[in-house]
Amino acid sequence: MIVRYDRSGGFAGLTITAEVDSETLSAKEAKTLKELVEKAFPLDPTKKKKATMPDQFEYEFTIEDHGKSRQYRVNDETITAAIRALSKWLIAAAQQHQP
Amino acid sequence: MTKTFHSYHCIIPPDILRNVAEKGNDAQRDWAYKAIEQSAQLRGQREVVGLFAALAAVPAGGKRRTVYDAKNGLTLPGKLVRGENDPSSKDKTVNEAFLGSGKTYDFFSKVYDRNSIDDRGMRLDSTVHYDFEYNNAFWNGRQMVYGDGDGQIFERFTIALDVIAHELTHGVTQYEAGLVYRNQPGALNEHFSDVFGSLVKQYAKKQKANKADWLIGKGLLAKTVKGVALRSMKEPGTAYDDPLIGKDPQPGHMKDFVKTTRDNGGVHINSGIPNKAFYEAAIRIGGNAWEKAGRIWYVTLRDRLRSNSQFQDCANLTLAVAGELYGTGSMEQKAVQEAWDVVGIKAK
Ligand SMILES: [Zn+2]
Repeated sequence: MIVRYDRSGGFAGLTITAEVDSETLSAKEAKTLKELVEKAFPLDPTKKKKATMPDQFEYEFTIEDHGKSRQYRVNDETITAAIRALSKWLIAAAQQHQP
Repeated sequence: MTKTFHSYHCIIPPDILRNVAEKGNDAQRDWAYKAIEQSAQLRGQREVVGLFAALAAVPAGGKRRTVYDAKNGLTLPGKLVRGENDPSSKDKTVNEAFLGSGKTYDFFSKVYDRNSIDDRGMRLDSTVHYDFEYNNAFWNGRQMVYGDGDGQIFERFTIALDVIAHELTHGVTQYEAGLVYRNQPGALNEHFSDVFGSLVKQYAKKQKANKADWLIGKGLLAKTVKGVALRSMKEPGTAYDDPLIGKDPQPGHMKDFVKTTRDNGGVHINSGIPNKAFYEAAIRIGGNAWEKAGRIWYVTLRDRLRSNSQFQDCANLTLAVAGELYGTGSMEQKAVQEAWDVVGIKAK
């Protein structure tokens, strides 16, 4: 499973990206990633999207698994605690596993 | 205040609403305003128009500010920590939000005779200490929200007056042109926040156009970051260049317009183009930028722009407004024409 994280917008308009491939992770880390993704995105992507209010962040997650790709977009109005937990973990993991 | 005041479903006699609107305290007036708005939507009552007028007739100068503390959580607005008549707080962040929104209120009131965000004396609500090390500030449609910054890239977001004025202006835009927050209308929304963000700072410092730095967010970047600010209206694309956060991506000309799906279609990027045009107009007109250039832009935002306006519309409308305010073929109108020429837009 590959998970890509892309945060853009905000007052400063700075973009932060992270990519984590479970193949590069230990079995324990890979299991954690899978669980975090399941908790963050229990449902298929919905078409509905609440408008981003001025200067809020926009988050885009792309999950590639078994040859399928799913994309989720949230913003500061719609982000959940589980998605925030996944974001934090991805950034930390991407920094740790930098080539 | 009684409990029934909170229910918008019950029908409140218009004379009671009028009385509260005219004589109530801040909280009561807010309630009355909401109730009147609600009943206007529900029933389309004729007398409602008069009630709005009663509210609007409340004397100007009704500056009302409240600051809340989210205590590093996500719940808005958080705990009330300072109201309009309260003494200053021990927390400098609270005081910065309070004083910054006051300076912005005063600017719009004294320079453009505007009574707050909605021009009806809306209370200015700010929440500080939102989230933990949150590198951002935003306007959520009802209030301003400020993060503390992580200390690595950003300082606290209340540190710069132009950031506070920028956020508050998003509220003004919401009540006036209602520019959609995406693509060119979104970049214009950002642009107007930067224009009045910078003008509030210039007004507070009593700076003429040619003496101002035209920077947005000076002081916001942590000391280790290589940059002077987040944006430059004078020279878009030159505000920072740093190994950690990259280079300022703003264009200053239509030929460099950035097409992207990120950031709602690059609203914080392409705003550099109209930003540069405003700077060029202000420099050509000279003197205090808020007096003439600022007035042209303010009237355009208040009366002329629509929710889906594009850069070209903004150029055309500022040119028309300059003619209306200062005369067709006036120095001011020529300055606006030339300013848009500089960024590659032919105003007609
Ligand atoms: Zn903004």
